[in-house]
Amino acid sequence: MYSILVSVFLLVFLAWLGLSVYVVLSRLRHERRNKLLGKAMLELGHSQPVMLNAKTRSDLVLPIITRLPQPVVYRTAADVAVYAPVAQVFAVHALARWGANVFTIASEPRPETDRWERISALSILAQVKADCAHDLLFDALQDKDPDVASSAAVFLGRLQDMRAAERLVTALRLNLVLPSFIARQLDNFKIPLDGLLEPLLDLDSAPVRYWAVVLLARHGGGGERHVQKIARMAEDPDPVIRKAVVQTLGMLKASDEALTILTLLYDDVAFVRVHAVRALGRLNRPEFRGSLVAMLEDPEWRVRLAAREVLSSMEQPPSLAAPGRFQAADGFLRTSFGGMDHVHAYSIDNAIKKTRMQTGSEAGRP
Amino acid sequence: MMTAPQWMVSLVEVIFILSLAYVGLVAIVMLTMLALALIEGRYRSQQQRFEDHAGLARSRFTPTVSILVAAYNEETGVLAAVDSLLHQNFPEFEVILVDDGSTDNTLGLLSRKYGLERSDAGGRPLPNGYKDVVCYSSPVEPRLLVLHKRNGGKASAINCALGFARHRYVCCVDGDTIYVRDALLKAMALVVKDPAVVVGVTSLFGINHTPGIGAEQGPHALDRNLLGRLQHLDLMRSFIVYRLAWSKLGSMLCAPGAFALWRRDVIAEAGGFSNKFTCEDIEMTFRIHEKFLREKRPYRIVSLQEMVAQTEGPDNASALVRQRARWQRVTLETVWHYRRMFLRPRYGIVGMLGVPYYLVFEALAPLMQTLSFIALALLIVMGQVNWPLYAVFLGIVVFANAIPSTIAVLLYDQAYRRYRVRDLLRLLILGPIDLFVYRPILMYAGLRGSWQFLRGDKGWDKFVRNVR
Repeated sequence: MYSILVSVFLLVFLAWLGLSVYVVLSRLRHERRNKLLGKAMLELGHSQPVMLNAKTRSDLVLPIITRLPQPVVYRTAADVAVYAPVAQVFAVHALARWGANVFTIASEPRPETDRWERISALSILAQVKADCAHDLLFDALQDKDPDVASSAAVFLGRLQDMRAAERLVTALRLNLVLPSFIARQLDNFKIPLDGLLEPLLDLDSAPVRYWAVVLLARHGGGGERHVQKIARMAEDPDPVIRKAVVQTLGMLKASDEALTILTLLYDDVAFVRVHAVRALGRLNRPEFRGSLVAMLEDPEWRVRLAAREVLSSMEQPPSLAAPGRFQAADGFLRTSFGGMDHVHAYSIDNAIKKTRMQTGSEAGRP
Repeated sequence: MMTAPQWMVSLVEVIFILSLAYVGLVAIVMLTMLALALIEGRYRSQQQRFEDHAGLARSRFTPTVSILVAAYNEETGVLAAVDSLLHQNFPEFEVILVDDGSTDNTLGLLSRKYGLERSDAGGRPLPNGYKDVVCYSSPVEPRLLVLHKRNGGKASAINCALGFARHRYVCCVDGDTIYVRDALLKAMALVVKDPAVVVGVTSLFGINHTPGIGAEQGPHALDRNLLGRLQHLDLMRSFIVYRLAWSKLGSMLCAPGAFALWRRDVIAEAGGFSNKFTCEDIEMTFRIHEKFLREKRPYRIVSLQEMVAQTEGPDNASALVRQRARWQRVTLETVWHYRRMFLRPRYGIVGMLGVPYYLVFEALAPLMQTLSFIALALLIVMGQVNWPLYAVFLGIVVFANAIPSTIAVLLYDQAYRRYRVRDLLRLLILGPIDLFVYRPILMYAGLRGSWQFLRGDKGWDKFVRNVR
């Protein structure tokens, strides 16, 4: 008995000791690599790396990077926390050193345990804007693994070119990845995407139409044709789309469609009215003040609150207006996410009313 | 050496067998949990390397959040807490603070700093049962709404704030805790991955004598106080190892009140927080599990492995005992209330593993620990203790007990690298010490909490804050 217990003790003690030593050693190894990375940063010069071309940067830090093992180089190249120019040097280096391997890893579906290797490889190809990156990323968008698919969407978003946008719009149309995720990437594109988004307005799928309307708020460019087309959707039976319509008209400051916004002020659904109020506020025209004041009597408090905020911001000189985020056009009830719609969000008020909220001191706090 | 009566020998035998079975069960569960935590921890730390937090922070499609703060006599920390909340790196949110009838200067301090003015809360109707609430808005900080009500307990305060919340997600936080800038962002990053299914997120928070120091990016500072360090290690172990493992199993049974993000409609549908329990947080988590599983609806409550906040822990043993006795009491209250889920296949992993785990390893642990001490005492009285054998057995328990702490430190360090090497060493050494210094306090607190539960106590026992 004693000898068994002693053996168990030794086993447990060594397990603890081994783990502790591993914690410290792995940290020290990390510190050493960090020092190397710091050196790379110094070599690049803190303020100018963006101005150097990728080749020059790579030549400067090559002696340091070559001392690092492949997983570290891959990981550093793909790590969002690493200073972007440094990560790019790592990406260039990884491609130069293990090019064929990077392509192979990026193009093949991997078992779950190796998914990060594939994501790193995809990130490397996206960073160096490799020719095949768009197609490989589109393939990855169709991967069953949500981590691979969502990372591919982010990398396509970072490419910021028309080919990447086309693939993201296709993904949106085919519902390959969570639509809000794709929309977030498309919304950040600096190039106009109205040509890609406009055809989506004619599709049967309500969610796709919704996202097209919402995204055109940023990519519509005030084009008369888009505005009219969007305004025509104000009678859509889906309140979420009507909300998107009014939101977008407000963001585009579509004064010519003020009548559409005014009509939606009297929509049956409260959150549509909320966004109509905000859209009218964005037009910032004194002749609509009366309509906004009338909304202060709306039976729904959120509509009244929106009207009050809009009226108060109209009264203030621009410099004193409330912070932008509070007046954001997308408002507090935003886009649909994965099946939970806004109607549901409003129905909870009734549930709250049913809640037995006791003010007595049952919890016994002094 | 005295001759022991037969009943005493039999009693010791029974207790010994029970204790041995319990220790064996603990070891099996612990090893399983450690394995699950290692898998999930590794997955999460890899995942966060590729997380598009910057994109989420600036996107207009990021879901909006109402932060609900319950504050009762929090004059020591309320300003720092609110300040940390208003500085969240998040696109759109509001902070609704409920002063739950504080008798100190909580409201005065807030009023002075934010120039609070009486308002009608933007025309929001007063929720049922809260018709005497006084609302204050701030002209300098439009995102802040302060409500003052009669003292009614934390659940009542959060329910009140919930009635005023305008956003789709609510994040329940404490008025004495300092939050890191990305707290909300990190939690919402988990939500947006699967918004139809993720209904709740919680996270780790650290303990510090002076919360806020080292709470942001950069190296974390360990508390100077040994008890503070041990509490911190305890929370790391609990969140990084056990809750991460439960999170993986889909059976995360406690979203603590210091940071619990919920989908608002889910809380409202569940009927709001309950005043009938000593603490509202664990009961709400159980209730949501029970409701969704009963209705066969898909859902997930997940735990981050990242430290999102720092709070002040009790800095003396007696305050710690009071706090932990309350935790034990609420665990017992909740497990007892939801006993219908125990070993019921209808409740899936929660019913078959989660609730039994809570019963056996959380609720009954103080009892089992006390029994083993009684057995030891009896053995000593009977002169039957084989001291070398006992020493080896104690050694096994000491280091086996230290392994989960070590794994928590390992997972945290591999993911974030925020402790200096010397602080890592300190945390590692605390592992074996924990059994001698910290566990006895917890055991006593557990017994006291169990006794209070049996007596039906509901007190809060708030500990005195440090002067900052």
